[in-house]
Amino acid sequence: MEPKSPWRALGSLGTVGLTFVVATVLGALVGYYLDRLFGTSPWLFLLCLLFGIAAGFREFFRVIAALDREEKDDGPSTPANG
Amino acid sequence: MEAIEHPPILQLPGIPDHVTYTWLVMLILLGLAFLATRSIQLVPRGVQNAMEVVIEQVLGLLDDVVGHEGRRYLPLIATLGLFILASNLMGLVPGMVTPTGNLNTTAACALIVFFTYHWIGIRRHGLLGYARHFAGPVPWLAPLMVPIEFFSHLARPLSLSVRLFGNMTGGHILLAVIFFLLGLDGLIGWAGAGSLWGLVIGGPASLMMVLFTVGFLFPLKMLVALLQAFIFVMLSMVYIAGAVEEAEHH
Repeated sequence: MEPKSPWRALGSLGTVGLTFVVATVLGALVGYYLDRLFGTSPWLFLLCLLFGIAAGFREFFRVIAALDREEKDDGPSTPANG
Repeated sequence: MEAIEHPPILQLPGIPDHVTYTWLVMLILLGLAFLATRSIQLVPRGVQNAMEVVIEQVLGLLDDVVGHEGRRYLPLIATLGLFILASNLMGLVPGMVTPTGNLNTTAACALIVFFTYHWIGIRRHGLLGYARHFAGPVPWLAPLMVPIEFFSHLARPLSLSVRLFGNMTGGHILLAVIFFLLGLDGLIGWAGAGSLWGLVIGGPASLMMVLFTVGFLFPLKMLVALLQAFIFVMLSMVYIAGAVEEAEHH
């Protein structure tokens, strides 16, 4: 297998920023509409916002773990003769 | 945007532009596939050779990211990658529409990935075994982990589609604005009013803008097209790998 290009790490890491934003906004939106549904403002909003932020971190750690695993797996691998 | 850009050159009545150009991309890819497989030889030449290089790259990625059973997902991953790459590059041709510059197209791709990787996970582990993925490693943390995983899985198709759509639309708007500011206004002023200053200022300005666009913006857009297609495919593979792997037990 050819050496890993830095573009791949850059590509994977470049996805992290948007994931944070999307997860946080998603949590906030879901919480907002749940609050409107049940009339429990602002508790469900805050709870879901926290869950959303935590979900962003979860995805972040997943990307890091995948990159890490890939670097470690760079040992003896059979060449891909498709 | 309609105020400053030319409408696409190919328009079918009653059909949205991005759908028309999705069909065009499909035709191009079908043509490529036909050319590549028309006469398959042991020592590949021409189109077959080029396509084999691309497919082997995808195979190598699948082996790296998903592992030894990743190759069965080659049709999905390679199709997505080729479709998105061709769609992205289509935006570089003046007068054509980028199908991935529309949120509907990217959302369709992202939803396919979303449902497919959950289905793969369920088929691999069974419904209960797959549900254990969402509970996290420690049992007493499960009430906390399940909502977090719920949001993180919901955020995936959303961020996939928004990322691709945003990058493509951003590049499109950038090109439209740069072309609009091309310095041609000075030249038009010269042509319309006969003012020599329009020529003196507008001539070099348009030349610089053309050089800037061809020398910098087009390579940049090509890089973004490649990178975004790669990121989409890479993330799809990471998601499939996450669905296939065993749940963490401690």
